[in-house]
Amino acid sequence: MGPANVDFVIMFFIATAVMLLLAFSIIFFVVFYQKRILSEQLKRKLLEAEYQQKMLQAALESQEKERSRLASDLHDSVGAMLSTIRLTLHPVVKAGNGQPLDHTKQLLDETIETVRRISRDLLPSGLEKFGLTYSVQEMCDRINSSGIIEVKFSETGNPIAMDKKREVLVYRIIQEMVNNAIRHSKASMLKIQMEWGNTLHLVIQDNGEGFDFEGFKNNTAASKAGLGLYSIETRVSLLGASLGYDTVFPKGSQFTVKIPTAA
Amino acid sequence: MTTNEFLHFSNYFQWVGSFTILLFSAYFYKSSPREIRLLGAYGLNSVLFQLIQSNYKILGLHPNAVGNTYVFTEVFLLLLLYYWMLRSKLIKRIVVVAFVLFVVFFAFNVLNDFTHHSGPVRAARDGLLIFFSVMYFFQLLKQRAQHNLFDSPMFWSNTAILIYFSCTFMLSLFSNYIVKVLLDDFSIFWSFRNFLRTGFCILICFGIWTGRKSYPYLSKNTISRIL
Repeated sequence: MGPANVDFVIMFFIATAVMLLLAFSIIFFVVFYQKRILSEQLKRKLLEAEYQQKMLQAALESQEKERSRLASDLHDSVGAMLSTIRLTLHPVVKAGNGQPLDHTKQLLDETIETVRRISRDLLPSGLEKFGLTYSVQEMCDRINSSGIIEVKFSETGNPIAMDKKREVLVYRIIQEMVNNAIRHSKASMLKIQMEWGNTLHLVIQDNGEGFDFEGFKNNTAASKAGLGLYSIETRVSLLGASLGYDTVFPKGSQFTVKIPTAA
Repeated sequence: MTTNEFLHFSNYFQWVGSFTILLFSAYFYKSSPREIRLLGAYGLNSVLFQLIQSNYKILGLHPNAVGNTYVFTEVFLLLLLYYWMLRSKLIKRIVVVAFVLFVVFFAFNVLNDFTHHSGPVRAARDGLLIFFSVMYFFQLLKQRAQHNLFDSPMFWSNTAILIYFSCTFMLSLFSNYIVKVLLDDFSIFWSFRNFLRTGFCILICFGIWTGRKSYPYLSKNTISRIL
């Protein structure tokens, strides 16, 4: 190979190297630019999710406050007024003016009891004072005494005191699931199990008809509202918990919620 | 190993590369989009032309005539690929115009003597494909990123096209000079190109393989249905 040809070969390789360098520069630029866009999109999505989480939390907190106000009003105003009416009616009944008044008193007693029950459902006062276990136990006792369904409650492990807001969320999840079982599953027995550990393992099992959980999961929010599943999912997500569903042999369904005890 | 043996060896490599593209696209044929199928057609085209070129004496053909025809079919297939990949109507029109101009340029350079090795035609091919691969990357930049680029088979195919044709551009441009002046050393340059082409084929196969999750109708029995 002559010197002119050597020069050509060198020039050829330099020119090819420059072309290759340009090609790689374009490829790397595209890759890094796309990666940057993807990471920005991810950040924006995370921010949106965080914002939505905060909005949900605020909505649920305001709902709890409203429930609390309504429960106080019912208990302190309507309940007190009904009790006063009952007291004022007592001497008249005692005077023995006939059966219609007895019936009125009975109706009044039922109304007072209904107001108390609604008030208790709206604000589980035991939750604030005695904690989650006590409130759930109280709820189970109340349902058992009504005779609608048999509820068995069990607890294992050492209960961990959670933040009150989180306890309210857990209580509402249990309440919603119990209501679902009573209203929709046609179950005769319900088991509520709480296992305390690093996470609170909550299992709610019934012997009812069960339902298509996956179908519900894939459906829209509006269709979930019917079974209160949307509100359960919302609370589960606010707790950073996970929700599972299984069918139980021979019949029934089982919800499992794993809740981190610390926020 | 003599330079001619080395050239022969590299030829074998690039043939295997093209055959691998054909195999990969055949494997995913039923489930893959038309772009992957076209890459398969490109692989088949390369395999056939490389077979013809290896046996040109038996077939009574001139190797340059086979090479020129291959360049034409290669430009047609790869420009069709860009016609499908590029979404802008304006760029699609540019692809069509570029192909028409290439046909005119090809006719002007080669048709007088079809056995003549035309460097400018090959350089034009490389230039066109570099231009449209850059256009495709420009399109990717304009699009909002929705998925990882590395999962897209077209990203890898386009990368392969840009790298390979950028490397061969100078070789194509000066190929007339190399053939006439460097004589025996020509085979070293062509071996370099053949190994580059093998890399190009591997990159395309890698793209087809990484994009397999996005092919909607993939089934395990695809290969048995094809073979």
